[in-house]
Amino acid sequence: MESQNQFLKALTSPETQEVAFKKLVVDYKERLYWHIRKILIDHNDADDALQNTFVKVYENIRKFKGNSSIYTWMYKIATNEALNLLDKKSKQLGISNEEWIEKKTDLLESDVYFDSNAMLIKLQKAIGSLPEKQRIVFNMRHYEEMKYEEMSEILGTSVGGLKASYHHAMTKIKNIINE
Amino acid sequence: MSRFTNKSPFKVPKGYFEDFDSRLIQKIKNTSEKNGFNIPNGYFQRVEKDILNKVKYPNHRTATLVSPLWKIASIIVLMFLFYYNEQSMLNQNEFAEFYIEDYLMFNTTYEIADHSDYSFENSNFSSSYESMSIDDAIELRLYGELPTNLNLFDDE
Repeated sequence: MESQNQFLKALTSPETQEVAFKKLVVDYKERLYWHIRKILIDHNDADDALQNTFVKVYENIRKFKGNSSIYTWMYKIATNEALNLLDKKSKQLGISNEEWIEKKTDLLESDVYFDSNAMLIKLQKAIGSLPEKQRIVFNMRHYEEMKYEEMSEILGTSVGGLKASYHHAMTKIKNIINE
Repeated sequence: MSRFTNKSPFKVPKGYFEDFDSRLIQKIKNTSEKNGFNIPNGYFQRVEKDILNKVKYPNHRTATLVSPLWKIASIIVLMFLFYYNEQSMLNQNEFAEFYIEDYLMFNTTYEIADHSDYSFENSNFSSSYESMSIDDAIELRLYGELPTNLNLFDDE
């Protein structure tokens, strides 16, 4: 926590903030990218959301009170940015977020930035068919192996609710794969 | 033959089918670290540059050191310009005074009057007629309208 306070001080001090912010980008860009990419599916959309995330982090760093880890706080911003972009894209087409994701997963076979492996595509289609919240919870728990307590802080949902969402998601995915 | 049932002789480990789907998902997870998602070559290097270019850091040097210096420098420049302007005004006045003095010293009354014919006839005289009595105006008209007439009058 002490080191985080020092790092926060470096991020807000005019003399050191450039170096500190660069370190933040270097350390977290990949982890945040993959979290966003799982939500948005498409690389270009993920790229937009990732850049917006870091710009927001920089603009709001003074508002961060240090109650949680900076990583959790950034994760929260990244999730919001990804969901906002998803809302924007789906509204442009006049469809729901779930329909947008379904559309994207249907295009995975022709996506140059996706391995055209039948099993992987089937799994992604199964994940893509989940309701938005279950999909995010599944990705965070299953792939990123995040603790429920941390997920609760990021998503603003109780640990019990998250466990239930994950259980429902897992059951649905298993059913789809076994079909 | 009745000893042979249709039961398969092959066996599977205990609980194999119970956790089959879980193991399958785990296998898929391990097959590709990023679960099939790929990125363009060198993407993370590029995105790092893009992000750092998008962020505008405040120029703290300007705020702390350069800015007061600029303020002082601009005040000095303004003071110098003001002083220079004052000096040039004084010089202009001095020059004008010197020129007039010189002009008056080296020109006779007639020459000065001759130089001023136009203004005497067209403006000064006409305006001065308006402000004097008729008698004075007639007297001036008869005897002293123009300095050049004085000689003629004297000769007569």
